[in-house]
Amino acid sequence: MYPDKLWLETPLVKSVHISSLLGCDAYLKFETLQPPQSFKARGISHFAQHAVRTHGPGVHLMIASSGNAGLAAAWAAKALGVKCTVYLPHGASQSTIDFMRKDGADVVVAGSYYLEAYRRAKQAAEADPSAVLVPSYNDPVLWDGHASLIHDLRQQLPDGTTPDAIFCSAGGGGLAGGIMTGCKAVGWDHVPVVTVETHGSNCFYQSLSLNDGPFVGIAESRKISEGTTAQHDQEHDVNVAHLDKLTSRATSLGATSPSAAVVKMALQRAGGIKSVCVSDEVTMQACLSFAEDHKTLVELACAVTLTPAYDPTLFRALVPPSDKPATVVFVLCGGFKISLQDLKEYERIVEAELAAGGEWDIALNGQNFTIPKAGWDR
Amino acid sequence: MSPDKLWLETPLIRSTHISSLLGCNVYLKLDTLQPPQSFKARGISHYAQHAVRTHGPGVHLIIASGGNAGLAAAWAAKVLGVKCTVYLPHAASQSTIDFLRKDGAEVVIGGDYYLQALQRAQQAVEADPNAVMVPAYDDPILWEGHASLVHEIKSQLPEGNAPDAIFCSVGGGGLAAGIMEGCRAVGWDDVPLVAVETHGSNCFYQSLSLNEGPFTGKVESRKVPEGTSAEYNKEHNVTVAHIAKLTSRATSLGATSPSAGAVEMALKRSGGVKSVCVSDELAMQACLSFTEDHKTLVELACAVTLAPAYNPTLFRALVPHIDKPATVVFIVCGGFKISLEDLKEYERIVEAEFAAGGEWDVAFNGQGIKIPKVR
Repeated sequence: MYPDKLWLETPLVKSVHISSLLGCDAYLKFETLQPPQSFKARGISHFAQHAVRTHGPGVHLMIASSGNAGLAAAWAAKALGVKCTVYLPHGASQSTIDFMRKDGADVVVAGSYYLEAYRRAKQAAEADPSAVLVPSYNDPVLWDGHASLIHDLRQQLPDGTTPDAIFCSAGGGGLAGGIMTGCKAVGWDHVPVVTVETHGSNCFYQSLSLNDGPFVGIAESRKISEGTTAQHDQEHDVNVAHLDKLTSRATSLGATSPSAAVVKMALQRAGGIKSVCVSDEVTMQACLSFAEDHKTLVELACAVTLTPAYDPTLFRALVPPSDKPATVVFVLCGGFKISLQDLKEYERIVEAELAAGGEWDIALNGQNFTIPKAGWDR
Repeated sequence: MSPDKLWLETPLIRSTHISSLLGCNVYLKLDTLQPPQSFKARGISHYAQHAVRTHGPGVHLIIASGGNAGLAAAWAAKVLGVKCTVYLPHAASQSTIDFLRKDGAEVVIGGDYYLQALQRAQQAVEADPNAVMVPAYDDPILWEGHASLVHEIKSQLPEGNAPDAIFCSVGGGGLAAGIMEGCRAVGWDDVPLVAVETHGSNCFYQSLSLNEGPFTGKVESRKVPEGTSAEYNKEHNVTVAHIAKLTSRATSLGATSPSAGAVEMALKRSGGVKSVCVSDELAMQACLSFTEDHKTLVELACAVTLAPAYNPTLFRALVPHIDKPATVVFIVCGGFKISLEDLKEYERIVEAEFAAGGEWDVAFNGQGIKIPKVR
């Protein structure tokens, strides 16, 4: 399918801990192990190879990114022997910048937030005939690369097993787009996909809400959040939410509006979509539990996917019990932006939340409910 | 290797971070990803499959282990659908016991020390005609399973080039023996092996020291540490060290004497062996650095392998400079005995070491060397 692919066929590991907690067969797709440490290795290297084929080996890859997309572009460019410049806004961590430079990329720190860095990248790409701007999430070539994940799953799950649900994070929707594209290609269009975001960074959820479809009730009956504007995308005939600002600490989700095409995909597919929003704090708890169980640090935007893994109540709301144990896959999308310092901070925050009592707020396809705050055994 | 193998072919990833630090091509074999979270999945499941073939599906696997070997046995037994009992001493942690039970093993806790748990396991095997004792590290069938690591590395390295060195931890020598056997099988007998232990748990180093071979000078000139007794092993024609007690925090290395077979292999192979001992604190520093770079927690016994990865001076002493960038492989053997709490403690200990100044003490093939403390 992908003859000269640069990314790794990452392991699909059955989690004893999570399977036991949820009473099902829970698999983890370890995209943390891609060379640039996230799933973006797939779509971005696929795009880069495409750029080299169409523009020749003198192509200059440019990308605006605050992190993982830039790392993936730097790595892909190095593997292909082409030039790469990454535009980052101020505030990007030194370790991220160092990582990009270790892979030979030029790094330009410009602008106080992503959009400004993006504008600089766009200007540079327009000024340079050999330059190609690498998209972050909104491109079919990207999704085609990300879709390889599903092809892997099909080979890696026990013979003939179709998952009962695939869980992933949603930022701009690139990963979700790839997963849905891949599912369609392998005859899994009916497989339920669960996308998870945070309350403070939920442009995909809000976009789905603006359309008739999986959400409860009809679009007109649903309130639009303050600070959100609705836009009708003509090309895809779908409504898309534009958020004024993001307030979540899961900054790698980082999109104020999602890909319209991916929103459309979600509304049209046979398996439907379950769009979930959770708090940063319950995500931190999942992040800590996962680190203890699986000895793997994942950034918050990735841990978001694991919140149902560590909460049986939430899981059962998403994957109704049936007569045989479910087979589910959690896509561990990866990401470099997590440190031991961060985890210490998350511990303090979660302890405070548990001490305060109350419940966690969850949104699922237009309905809001709460789940109990469970302690964890440490 | 075996078509019905139970272990995973784990990724061999090139580390951008460590390659950049050391100026060569550094690959990590991530056996942390085996289902029971360590390389022991290989040899132990291979042994378990052998036991089922020879004793039938009613076989009862028995093992005495405080950790990773027990976990691997429990997992293998579950997959094969056979009974497994793990004998643990009283000191075993609740999380270890829980993890074993989640995999369906029966857990019997008894005895204050590992040796007592081992005795109870041995008694159980004698009493039950269906029972087979699963060895921890000293068995050729185990090594055959572990050797699969090398077969995989050969197929995974770009262009199948032989590495310039393979680094691994040594406890009882099971992993090292598997690596040496695997190397021989794929035509890599001349590939240098760097075997790393800690000063407080170094039975392999001490055993090599008791024999003529890679260590500098002659055997007689080398002092035998207090608390160590030398024993001549007839079968393998080597002298083996028995250490009175282990004082290292890298408890999963946990062997007071190594496999004599592994010692013999090390002395005979054409690629030789570079036997290194580092302090617990240096291993802690490597552990922390690895976590920050690779977002993976490894237990101390595994981080020991990475001490040269994060100390260019030590690395240069072990892998001499050649005209083209070297290709080296670090076996990240895994292990589940590491927690976020442990890491916090390691941070404090390492900070104290830096505040105290001075240098790290390293032993290498009979010589003591000092390397600078660098962040």
